[in-house]
Amino acid sequence: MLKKLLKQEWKGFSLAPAIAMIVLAVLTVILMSTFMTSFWEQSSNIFVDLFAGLIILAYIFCLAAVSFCITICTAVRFYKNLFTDEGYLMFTLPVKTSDLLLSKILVAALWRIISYTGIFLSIFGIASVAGAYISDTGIVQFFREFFDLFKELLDMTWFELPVPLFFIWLILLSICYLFFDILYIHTCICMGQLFRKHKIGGAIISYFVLRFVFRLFRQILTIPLSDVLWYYNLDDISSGTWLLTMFISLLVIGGLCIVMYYFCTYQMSRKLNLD
Amino acid sequence: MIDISKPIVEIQNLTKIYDGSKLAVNQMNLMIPRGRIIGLLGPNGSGKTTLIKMINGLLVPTSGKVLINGVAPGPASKAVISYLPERTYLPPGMKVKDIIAFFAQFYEDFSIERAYNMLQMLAIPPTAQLKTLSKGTKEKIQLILVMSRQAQLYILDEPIAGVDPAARDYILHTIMTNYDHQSSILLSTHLITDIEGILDEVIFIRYGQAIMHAPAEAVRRAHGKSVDAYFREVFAC
Repeated sequence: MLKKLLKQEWKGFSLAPAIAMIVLAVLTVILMSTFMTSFWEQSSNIFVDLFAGLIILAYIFCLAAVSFCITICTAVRFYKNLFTDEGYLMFTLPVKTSDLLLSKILVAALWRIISYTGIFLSIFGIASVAGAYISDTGIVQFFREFFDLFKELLDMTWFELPVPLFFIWLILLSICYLFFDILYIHTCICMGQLFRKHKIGGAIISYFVLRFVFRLFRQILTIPLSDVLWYYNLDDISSGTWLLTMFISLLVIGGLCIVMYYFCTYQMSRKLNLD
Repeated sequence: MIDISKPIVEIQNLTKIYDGSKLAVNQMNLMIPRGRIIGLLGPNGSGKTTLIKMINGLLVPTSGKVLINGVAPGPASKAVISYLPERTYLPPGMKVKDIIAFFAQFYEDFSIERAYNMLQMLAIPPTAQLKTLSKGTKEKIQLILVMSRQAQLYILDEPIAGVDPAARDYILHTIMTNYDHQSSILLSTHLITDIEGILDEVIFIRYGQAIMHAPAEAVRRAHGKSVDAYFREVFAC
């Protein structure tokens, strides 16, 4: 049933993010093509300047809009599909509540990955073409230099820890944060359902209250680390301490994801009260 | 294994309190047998919809139990119940054919052929987008979706409220010609005249309690009047 739910969720979720990604792709191609032609050499022309300004502004706006669009879609889709009249359709399907929730999380996560990849490729694409244009070395040379730099970085160590380990940690942390962000939205909406009236307002209040609580929690957790950094020279901190810090950060974010997942499942199965 | 000698729905001491104080269903005990058409009758606010929502797992009881085929509401019960809510709940962005495909995908007992036959009879184009259709047409589509299943229990919440007399006839005809006679139909309404002829049993609900559950014929014989007339007498303001 999860597969079927994923298919339906993908169909229902994808329209707005797909449009945002297409707009980003078009703007990226336009910007890249300006570096491939003699466009920037005609800067004395006011219309060219105006066009260049507008296209760069549109591009920056679009980068922000893609992320914003996916966050909004995650919230709206979850609320509308489960807690409005559409909930009568979804909650009477012969599926487990956990599958219902998982389908929402996985599709939102997939779209986030697609959007981050799209944004990275877009910026990297423009930067590589612009870099090649400015240094006048050509794209092939630009990529060669980039990968040489990356290889050098991989051979280095960071506080006696190999840099690839640091990269692995960063990737794992990003994955945890990816799910954390989605579950955070879902949790706030589920908390909003606890309010008798003004459930959307309740979700918004929950968003800020939870944010405050999590920040406080993070602050408390990082006090020991900041003490260490304050009293000791950074170079004196052992690789073991860094490893422990990295491990704890993963554990905390991962743990919070699990707590939020079970809270949402509980709310959707044991506390469901569709109006 | 389902024991068909047992009722399809058992309700034990069921209570639902809204907002900590508003009692909607009060210590209700009820059994819904198999193969019967049962009218769930009561005035507005008597607790009919709340009871139906709890059977469908859309509301969580404050206390008590709802058992469908011996189990609490969940994926297994939802696979055997075909539910028509009192509101339109279909996603407006979907096309008629998409919602039919959606039902066929999730419900093993759904007949696409039957659904398309009913659509054709009502001249509803399968390619039409739901948001372009009138409220009445959307209600008819919902009824088509519900009655295209070979469910063990059909729960129809106010299926004839707010529709014109011709549409009422069509709805009742659709229900009668499409349901499996081994199944049960729980039909909630306060428009008794229109449905009295098809009811095998009636349940009267008042203040969240089932005050009477009897065969329709027995009610008529015992009180010397129609169920509708008796309902008016019992619930007179």
